[in-house]
Amino acid sequence: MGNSEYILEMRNIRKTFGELVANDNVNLKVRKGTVHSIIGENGAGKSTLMNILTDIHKADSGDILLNGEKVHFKNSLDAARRGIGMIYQEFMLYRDLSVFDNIILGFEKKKWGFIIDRKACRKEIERICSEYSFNIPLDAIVKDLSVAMLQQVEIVKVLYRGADIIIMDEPTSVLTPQGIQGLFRAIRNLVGMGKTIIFISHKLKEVLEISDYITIMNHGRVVAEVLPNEVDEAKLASLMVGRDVILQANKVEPKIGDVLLSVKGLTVKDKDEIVRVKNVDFEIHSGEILGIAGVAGSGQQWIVEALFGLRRPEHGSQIIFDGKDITYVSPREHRLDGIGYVPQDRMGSGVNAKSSLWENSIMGYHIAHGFKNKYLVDTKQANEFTDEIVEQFDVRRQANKDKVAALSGGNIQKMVVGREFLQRNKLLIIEDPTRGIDVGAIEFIWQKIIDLAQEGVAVLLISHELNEVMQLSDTIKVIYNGQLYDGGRHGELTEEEIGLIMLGGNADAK
Amino acid sequence: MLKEILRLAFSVSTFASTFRLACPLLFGSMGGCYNSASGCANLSYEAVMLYSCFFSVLGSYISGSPWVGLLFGMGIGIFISIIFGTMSLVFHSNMIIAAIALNSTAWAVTTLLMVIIFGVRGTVYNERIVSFKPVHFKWMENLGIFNKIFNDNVILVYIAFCLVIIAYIVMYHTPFGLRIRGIGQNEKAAQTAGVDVNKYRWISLILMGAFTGISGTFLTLSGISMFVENMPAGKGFLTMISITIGRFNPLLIFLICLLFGYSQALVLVLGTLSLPTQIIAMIPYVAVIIVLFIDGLKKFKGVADIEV
Ligand SMILES: Nc1ncnc2c1ncn2[C@@H]1O[C@H](COP(=O)(O)OP(=O)(O)OP(=O)(O)O)[C@@H](O)[C@H]1O
Ligand SMILES: [Mg+2]
Repeated sequence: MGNSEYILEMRNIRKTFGELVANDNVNLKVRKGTVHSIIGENGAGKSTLMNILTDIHKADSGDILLNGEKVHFKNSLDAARRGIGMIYQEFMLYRDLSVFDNIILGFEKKKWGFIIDRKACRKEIERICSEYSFNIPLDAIVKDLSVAMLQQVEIVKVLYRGADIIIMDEPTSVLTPQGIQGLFRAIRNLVGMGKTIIFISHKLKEVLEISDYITIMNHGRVVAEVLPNEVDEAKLASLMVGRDVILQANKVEPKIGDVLLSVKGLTVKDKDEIVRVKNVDFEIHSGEILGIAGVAGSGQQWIVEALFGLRRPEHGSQIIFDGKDITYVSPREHRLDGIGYVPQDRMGSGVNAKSSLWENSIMGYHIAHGFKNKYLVDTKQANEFTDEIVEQFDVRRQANKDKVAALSGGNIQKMVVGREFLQRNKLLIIEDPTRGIDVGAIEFIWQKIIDLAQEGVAVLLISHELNEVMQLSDTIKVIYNGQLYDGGRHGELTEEEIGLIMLGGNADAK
Repeated sequence: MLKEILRLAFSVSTFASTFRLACPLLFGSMGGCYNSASGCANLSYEAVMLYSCFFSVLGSYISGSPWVGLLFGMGIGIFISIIFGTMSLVFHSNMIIAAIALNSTAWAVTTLLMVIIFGVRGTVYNERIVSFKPVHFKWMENLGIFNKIFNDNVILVYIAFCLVIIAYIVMYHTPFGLRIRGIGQNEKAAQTAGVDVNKYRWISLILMGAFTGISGTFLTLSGISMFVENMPAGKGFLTMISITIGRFNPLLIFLICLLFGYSQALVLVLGTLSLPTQIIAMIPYVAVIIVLFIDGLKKFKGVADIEV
């Protein structure tokens, strides 16, 4: 082993996809036992750089050095063997397998040459869990677990594979505040034990909190290297985007109209007959932004699914939209009636990653408005619409016929938001609209939401970012344990007061 | 009449033939469950079975040994799988279409070969075609009904039953089985775990071909020693269906194969009564529909519970 002061060095890494230069002579030096953050706009090339490190992509040129020694990986397995572990933006888990099987797959210990030695594997996993204080249910099936738990599973998985350098690509975008604190405790613990963390996030506050070093990328290049105590959020944001960013919504007096959506006694059960939403009532007027804050998993998902016709509410529930009972109608009719939907799970429900950008841009609206001349899809019109989204929402892409899978995470999100925002909808149901989006683009999307409301669109905003709900909403509701509580009007309650309701502080009072 | 039907339905000979009739399904499904678990939509069982029926007869005819017949049957099974794999895994053509192409040419090709090699149509029967001989176990003799059902079968029957256990162990207790299941659920995750996805796809495909080849051999060389045009007559599809409904779990697949075996046995025994043969011949397929229906009912609830 060399005795370099850096555990990892990437030198002059260059990677192109066709015309596009995703990484342009990037240099990165990471010290052992530190948290090194990489931040940058959507499409800046962060994930690409990490994919090169784990050998998912081959660099066009450049070198990787581990402990001062040049290395050439043959494949991802090789990278894993050399101690590089990655936790992906989209989790790499097998839904129907147990946590245990998920962890050992590919790295099974064997007895008699061909049988999996479950005992030995379990001992090793339990050792890791106790050494780094993780508490995960090894025999549970993955699809039954919460996201925060799954993330712990991912971390234990890379540790089990013997990782020394752990890359986390936007690990906090799916976590609750408690989950994030849990993750940070784990990260500090890991670093304390000599592991090295590469941390990618768009949430600058977190980056400042957890990092030892920060590298800033823009358009495929490294533009700055800073220490967290030299900068603040605003400075980081401007370094990233190349201009000053105001992290504040430009809230104006709303123009509230008539009641557009009225929900009465909404009760929803999941497929195991567990009540997820209990007797929820609310109303949204046109021109109003109604925000629902709450800890992830409090029932938000079920409300939205019922509202959009993806799930049947129980008897006695009533959803009236624009004077029409839509309690039991299909998503297709919701679209036709003018209800738009930005789902939380963009890869699962928002897009078809294997289809092209233009196909995804009209998806869901192929029936509702235009895009077809009688029987055939009007590709010209669809392409024009795609261009409109790309232009207005700054989606960084090469061509409309490219597959969505080739876009960076944040750019996919911008495309989905653009698709729903640019239609003449009367009601928009938006879940976590700025998930995985850089600060510059958040500013823009917030402004769009406010503009739409000014034009008379009713907005139901469901976000796990309390700040987002508080900045944008005219009326705030808080969901806790499947029930809705009042969160006051815009600016009426403080962040602490709402935070308390989110944790059940008002449950007794009601 | 009803009494007679019930007596036959629960007679020892019906159960004895249940096991024999389940065997061709068992070989194919125990060898093929990995292929399906890896996420491959392989519908070519019918073709593989038909080719191996013909070639096992040919092998036995040339050599006078059923073992050579078995070798021929497995060999051609593997060969057809390789054709399927070349189309679907190398050239990435649509698997369904590739399988339909194989299935629809199989009948024509085997019939053509039959005319060329044996100079007959319809049925190939020849003294030089030798079947496996039944094996007699002395220790079973005083086990009553058990003896009647299990004793005096060809060796392949016993192998089929051992295969269920082996297949189960391989599926749930070896890295191979775990990785195959992983690939089927999340190919990309398996890749990042360093699993050579393509290699496992090919291995599972070849297993499917080899074992479905045994199924074909069983049809021709377990006693009747002849080849008939379109011999599997749907058994390939039943094999595939039992894998799908059994969700790749060898023990569950085993139960479903037994059910299909039993319904085919009913066709045989009830055929001796004066019932319309068309109705009786429907039994196995009605069984399929009922099983699918019950299987579907379990999943049916609400609109959005489609697992993504
Ligand atoms: N497989 C691919 N084929 C073509 N282009 C790609 C591919 N992967 C990434 N790109 C392009 O490379 C650029 C950099 O993408 P990358 O995913 O590295 O961005 P990122 O910094 O991670 O952004 P985000 O914050 O949105 O996740 C983007 O413009 C993207 O469209
Ligand atoms: Mg990314």
